[in-house]
Amino acid sequence: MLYSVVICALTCMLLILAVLFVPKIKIGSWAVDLYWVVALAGAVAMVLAKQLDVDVIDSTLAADTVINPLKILVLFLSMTILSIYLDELGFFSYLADKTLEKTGASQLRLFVYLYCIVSLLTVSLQTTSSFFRLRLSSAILPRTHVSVLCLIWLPNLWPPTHGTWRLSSAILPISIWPPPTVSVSLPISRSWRCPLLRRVQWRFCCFN
Amino acid sequence: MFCKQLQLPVVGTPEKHVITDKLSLVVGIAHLAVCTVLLSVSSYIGLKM
Repeated sequence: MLYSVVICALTCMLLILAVLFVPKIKIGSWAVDLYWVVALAGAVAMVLAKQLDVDVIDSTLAADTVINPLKILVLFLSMTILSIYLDELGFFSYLADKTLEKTGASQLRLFVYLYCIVSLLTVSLQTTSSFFRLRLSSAILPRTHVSVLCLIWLPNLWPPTHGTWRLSSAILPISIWPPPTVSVSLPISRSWRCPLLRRVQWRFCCFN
Repeated sequence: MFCKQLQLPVVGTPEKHVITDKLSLVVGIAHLAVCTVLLSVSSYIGLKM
């Protein structure tokens, strides 16, 4: 148990550090994203440390349950394809423009509007909401030079059952609980001039 | 916490973005809507997620 917790904590820590500071490594002409390497290394370490039985992995992957990781992966990939399709059509840029148009010069209003749009997107696209959030954020940010980067970090929906889509999760008041948090707040005008801070911002954005 | 910073005005103007292929957009959004509804009710009607 203790080993599992230690390996898990180390993996999480390394994952965050990798995402923030060394997102890619270059081996010759190959560039490899580190996030999945770190996660995979953590999983392998679990198996090597005999904290996880290979049979358990096998049965979990083949289990006919709603939290089967392969099914979730299929769901995620399918929704991602759908979101890329909408993005290619300019749907998110359109949403971003409309949001900025309505907010005028008020950052507070921008924050509230983003909150509402992201809430709705989260309701309709539970598992891929972070992808949508990222798309929307990246559509909005280059269009404006706001002095505060108020990215909304709506946590994933609180699913009544693990990974299961239930009608109740489509109810807005439940879906937007717990409330969003402003996780990054850096003066964008300053950070825009500083590549490291800009990278950190975007990494935070991607990480979420 | 961020109240002071949020009070500052936004500098810059939004760009105009026009969606040219509206039919594809409608198809995409319709897909999304159907998927969302089916995912929401699938556990009640015995469909796999």
